[in-house]
Amino acid sequence: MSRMQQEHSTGLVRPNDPPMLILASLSSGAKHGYALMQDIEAFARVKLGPGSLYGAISRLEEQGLIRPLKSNGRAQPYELTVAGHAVLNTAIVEMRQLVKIVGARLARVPRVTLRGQLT
Amino acid sequence: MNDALFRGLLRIYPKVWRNRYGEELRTLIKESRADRPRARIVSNLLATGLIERFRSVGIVGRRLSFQDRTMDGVLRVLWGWIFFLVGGIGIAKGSEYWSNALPASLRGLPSNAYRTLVWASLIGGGLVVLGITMASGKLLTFLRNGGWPKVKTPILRALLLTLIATGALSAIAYWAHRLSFAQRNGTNHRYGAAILCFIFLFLGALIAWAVAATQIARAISMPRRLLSFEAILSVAVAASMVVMTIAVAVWWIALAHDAPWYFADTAPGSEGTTLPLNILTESILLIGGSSLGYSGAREAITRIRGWTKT
Repeated sequence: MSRMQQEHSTGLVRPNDPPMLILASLSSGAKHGYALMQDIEAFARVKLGPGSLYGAISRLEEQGLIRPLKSNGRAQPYELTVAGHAVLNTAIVEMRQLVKIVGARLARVPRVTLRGQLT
Repeated sequence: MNDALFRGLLRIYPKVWRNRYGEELRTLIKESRADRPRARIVSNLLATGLIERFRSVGIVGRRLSFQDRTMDGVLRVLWGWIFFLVGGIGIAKGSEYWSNALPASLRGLPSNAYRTLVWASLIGGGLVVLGITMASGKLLTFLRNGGWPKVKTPILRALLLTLIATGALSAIAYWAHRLSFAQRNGTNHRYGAAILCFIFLFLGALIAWAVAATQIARAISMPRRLLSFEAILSVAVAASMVVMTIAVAVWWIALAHDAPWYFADTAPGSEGTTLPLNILTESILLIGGSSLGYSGAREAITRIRGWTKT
């Protein structure tokens, strides 16, 4: 893992972080603020406020992970950069590893059914 | 949301941020107003505006390089020190003549705590001055190389506020000599209002200098050795704040136990609150400042270690 990826991944591994949600949403193509808000609400069930959304957009743009596209109207679309793709991939790998470890641990713990019986 | 309210809320954000994202944010709010309650949008803009404002002056926020993160930590300690200083001045003013409230046999513990507080404040203050002095060489080089326009505004703003605060203090001191003890201590309301104005001016000047220091630190480039030294100093300053907070707590507990009337400002032997509003506010500032200092020192030392390893 490169130093840049390592440094980004420490902040983006939490899947409900606004920057992570924005990167995930932009992975399906360029979107403007309102489209991002609606998409995030649809796939993550997280209602981001307008300030939170633009706070995260400004940080991602500052870090070179997203970039604005040319726009004709007032709504400004954004797209992932190459670095943004790389960071998103790293975060996904980390999350997969986490799911794998937790899954393996849960498999070793006796499960309790709704009726209180051990399985 | 009406335009005036939006513009008011947008003023909370730093100018650079406003110019870059203000119009986009306005468009988004117009498009999303049917989905979000107005109060929620307002509270969200208020909170995130403050965060962006704090980010712009270096109180919060992470940047990528170890050098920047170390500097972030050191600056966080500086800001913690500012909050702490305000609380500490309040404690110093409010603790005048405290020993008169106790018989000599009971003064041992609070006296030791108070002495520790005074020594730790002198050491902490000295370390802050040393940190600023050590960085001033780099500032001079920066200014000589044409850096003045980049830091002119915050420095001039801080100087202006300091001049006004100094003028106000001189006027208040001149006025105080013409007033009786009782007038100076509450019966003359105009004098009280003037003191309050001076406190706000003093706080404004203090914050303006901290903003100037933050912007200067962001603008200059420090070599690894100097930054390591600043990081170590920041740890010592944060430790002095923690020591002072503990000392104030011990002093307060001892006094609240043996002379509760001191805090309530009532006759000896009477009952009353041992945690009046001023002590509560000052305690919040001390604990808040120490916490900020601790988190900053931790950040600085962690990043400098990481930087040294690379």
